[in-house]
Amino acid sequence: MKKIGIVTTLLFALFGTAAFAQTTAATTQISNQASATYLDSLGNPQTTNSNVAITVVQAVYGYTITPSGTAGTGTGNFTGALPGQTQNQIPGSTVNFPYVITNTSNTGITVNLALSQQTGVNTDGDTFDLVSPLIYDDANCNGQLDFGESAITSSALTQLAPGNVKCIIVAGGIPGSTPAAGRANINLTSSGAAPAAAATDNVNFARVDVLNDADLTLAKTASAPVLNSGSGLFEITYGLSGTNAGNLAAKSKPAVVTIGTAIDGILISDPIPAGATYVTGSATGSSGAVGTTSVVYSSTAAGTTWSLSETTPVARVGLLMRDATPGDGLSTNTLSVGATYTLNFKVSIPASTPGLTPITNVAAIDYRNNNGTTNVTVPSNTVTSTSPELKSTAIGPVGQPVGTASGTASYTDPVSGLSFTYTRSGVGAPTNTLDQEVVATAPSGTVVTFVNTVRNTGNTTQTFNISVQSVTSGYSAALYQSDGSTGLGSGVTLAPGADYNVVVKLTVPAGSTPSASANVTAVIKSDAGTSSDITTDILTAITSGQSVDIRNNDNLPGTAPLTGTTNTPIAITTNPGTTVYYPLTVQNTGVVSDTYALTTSGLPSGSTVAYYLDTNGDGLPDGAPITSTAVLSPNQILQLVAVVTVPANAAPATAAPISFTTTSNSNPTSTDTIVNTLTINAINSLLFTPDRNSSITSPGTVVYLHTLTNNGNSSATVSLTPGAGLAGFTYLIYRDNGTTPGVIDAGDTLVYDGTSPTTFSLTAGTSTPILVQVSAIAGLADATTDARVITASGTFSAGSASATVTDTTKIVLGKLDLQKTANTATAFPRTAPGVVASTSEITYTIVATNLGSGGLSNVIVFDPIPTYTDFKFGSASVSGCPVGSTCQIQYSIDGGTTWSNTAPADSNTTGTSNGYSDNLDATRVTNIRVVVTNATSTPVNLFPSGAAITITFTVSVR
Amino acid sequence: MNAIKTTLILVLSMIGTLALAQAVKTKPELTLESYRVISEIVNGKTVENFAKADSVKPGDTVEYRVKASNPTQAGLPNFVIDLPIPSSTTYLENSATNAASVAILLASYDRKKSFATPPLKRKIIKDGKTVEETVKPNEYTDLRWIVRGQLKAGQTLEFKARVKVK
Repeated sequence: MKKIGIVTTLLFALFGTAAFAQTTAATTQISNQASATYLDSLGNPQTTNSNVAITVVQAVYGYTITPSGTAGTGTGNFTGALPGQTQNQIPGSTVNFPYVITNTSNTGITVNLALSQQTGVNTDGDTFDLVSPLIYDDANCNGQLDFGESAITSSALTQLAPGNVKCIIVAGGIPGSTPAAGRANINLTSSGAAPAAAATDNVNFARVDVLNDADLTLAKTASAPVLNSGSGLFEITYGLSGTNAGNLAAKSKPAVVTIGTAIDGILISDPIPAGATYVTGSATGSSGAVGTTSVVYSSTAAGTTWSLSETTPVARVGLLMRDATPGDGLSTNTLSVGATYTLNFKVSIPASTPGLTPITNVAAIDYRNNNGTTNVTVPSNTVTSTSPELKSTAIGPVGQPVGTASGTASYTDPVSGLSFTYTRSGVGAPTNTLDQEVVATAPSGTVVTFVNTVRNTGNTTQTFNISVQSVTSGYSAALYQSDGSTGLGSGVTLAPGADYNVVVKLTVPAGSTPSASANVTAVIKSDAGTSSDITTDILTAITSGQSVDIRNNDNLPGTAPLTGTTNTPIAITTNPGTTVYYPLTVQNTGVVSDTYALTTSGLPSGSTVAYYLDTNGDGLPDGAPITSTAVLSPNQILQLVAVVTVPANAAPATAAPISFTTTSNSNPTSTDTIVNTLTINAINSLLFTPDRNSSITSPGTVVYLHTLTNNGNSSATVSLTPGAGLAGFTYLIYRDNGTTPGVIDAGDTLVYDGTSPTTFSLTAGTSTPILVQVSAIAGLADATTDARVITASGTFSAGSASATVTDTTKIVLGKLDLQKTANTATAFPRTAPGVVASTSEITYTIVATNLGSGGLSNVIVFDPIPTYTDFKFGSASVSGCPVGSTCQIQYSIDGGTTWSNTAPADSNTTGTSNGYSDNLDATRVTNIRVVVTNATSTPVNLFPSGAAITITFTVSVR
Repeated sequence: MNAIKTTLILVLSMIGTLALAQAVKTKPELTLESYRVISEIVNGKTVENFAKADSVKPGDTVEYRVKASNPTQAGLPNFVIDLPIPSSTTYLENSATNAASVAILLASYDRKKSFATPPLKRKIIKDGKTVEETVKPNEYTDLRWIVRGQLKAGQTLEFKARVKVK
């Protein structure tokens, strides 16, 4: 149970080397498959895969046991072998040799273990054998044989992970009678159990030497660093303890220190490690020495001088254990067998010590062997503490990651070229009230660049995750590296105390509403894992980044438009049915690129507008119409032409204001308008058609149909008036707006009543039918002709116009000439009723001729059967009937009251029929007539001028 | 009747054979073979022998051979061959076929997210600064050969690369 500290150190070292690269486990299948992509003949991407190549990993076997030493020769290879570990022990004690078995196989194995001892007195100094040496399972791997840990002869190892190890202890007893300087050599042999039988490790030599003297141990412990909240320092408590593990008393060193006078004693001396500071008043110590024990201090690292009180600085702390007569300069018994001693003190390390800095310390104890002449210095085990790893970060305004932020700073964004001035305020880490960086104002549509500084306030190099914790809704923020253009990526790695500038780009959307108190906020967080810090970037005010100017392009023709803002209106006068051009210039007068919608208001009714590019600046449209501009960068100018199409019937307009407006598509509040004027000339025009003519009788009436059209561009108030003409003709004029077109009926509007007109309104572009009724009084001479001018007078919104038609009416009087002749001058009465006698027959011929200048209508030629004569059946005929007319012979038996197209039958009742319509018949033809009809003539039943029909019939003298 | 039947069957079987042969020739073929590299020193010179890598041991070197053949009647442009490095192996530097006149060799260290000409570089942030470092070949995850021009009709190309079993 000696030198525990050394054993512990050894174990750590063993663990350190136990880690080895993980090999691929046995039976692992390594599968691989190649793939290829290509384009097929149709140009379509295709994929094909290879077969799967499978390789199976075989088992490999191996293990190591350490510490090994080196093998010698001879029996058991002991001769000249060097032990891997050596211990000093006293007679009657038990020695423990710790070993570590490491499985270097890629599968689980079992290792069989055995022990062999060197026998006999020999050149290696081996004088005795350990009693009952056994192999134990050091389950907790602490290098000591603990209660419950059992003896084994083999160790099953299953490979699980790199560094898979098993700890064992070889323990054996030292006989109580073993003389001083006795020695035992022992070896741990091993071999792998099948299938790992080929693996062996038989070189694991160990040695124990037996003492017969004083043997002072010195074990050193160190606590983990603990934060002293009062001082803010981390403190490590060192403990030194030991005992005289030998079987004889340890003696003092004469004049081991000089404090005023030389003092004989045993001294524990422990240097304060570099980077650490002794904690005032922390040292305590005691011992079982025969003399007085004191804690002593040295201001020198080498411990050349010592003091009973704390020195400045304290470079070493010691425990002075005096012998019984410390001033006599003799080496005498000071620590008896089993006497113990302890020394405890604290050191502090500043929080700024880099994390995981090793704080290494080793003490020593100086004494003399029991022979009183041999100086012995026994070092303690080395303890290594590590400074705590403090992970913390601070982020704040540029240059001021911690503490109170103040003042201003400026930065020019390398990407946008925009410069920003920051006002810094608030208190950052570690107090962590609001620290902020403020940009006073920025236009919408721009990116505001902030710079925040991140600091590693911990004591170890660390990667901090920098993120945008929050940003005002509607805005976005992105993080960049210090160059202002490269994305920040996964984090920033900083050494302790190092700063890094993170560039924060806050996008102000183009549609942001300008406001003096927008106060857009982005909270940026630097996260160290266990702690974090935030800072706030604020944009106070937003101005409009969009601005646009539209003006008349008053530099035509020219190569470039003027850059001024001349807004003299363009005044254009045109006629309906034309197209006019307004050359315009749109300029982006904002600070951000933008596109602009083009709109128009105030167009005269019916007119339309379209915008075109004017790429060559000639004031004429180029290309297809547009409704919005392309992207215009700040200050860029675009030449346009607004083309206004005035329809043919456009109403007159005088300097109608037309607003040409351009509006930012990204911010509708950014807009500009130029107002130009358009004058549409008044068009006053009436069309009155056609001229009409007709003939009428006297008296007679005719109605003429005309069409009156308003060809102007405004409504006309119209009056219709006949001009001067012949007496005997009267005129009435109607708008033919009744139920029956072309005929004067109840619905028609009388607009001239024979003496004065009644006006009516006629809308631009519309027509109305007009009926002119002409009446002639009786007694007018044939061929009297009245050519009358009808004037339509229109009053328009501006000016007037008139139109005329001429209606010519001619008087035509009827003049039907009848000439009647008989074929004989003499005839002889029939001798008796019923007799047929040709001599009694007279044939009449009647020629009816229209001798008038105009046609006659409804001509009927009547002729009574003369008294004393009888009509001869079938004798009536008519010829010369006008083409298209029908000349129908009709008969009457009642003196002309009723008529029939057929003659009555020859129905003599008293004798034979004689062919005459006489009084022997039931009825008797009294009259005949010819009716001239023509359904298709104009007028109906026309008997034209010059027409003549010849009628013949025969009678018999009774 | 018997003669007619026989003829008919013969014709049918010929059609079947023809159809089968045409189907085979519509795609390129890709095969992958793995060999264990056995080095020995003979007369002072290192001689390499190859054995089918059906089974290997940790530390062995395996050579993969990818054969791409084009049995079709037309050249295949944009022919790209990918060969993963199995996770239980590591790529051996400069072992991949790098015949610049035939194909362009690329490698990836991030599971095919990006490919570049080896030696691969990557940017890391170190002490707050972006620095470039060379990626160790044993971190490579994939190899890629881009055949120059096209894989010609009837052409067969072979590409090799070696890995070490972990």
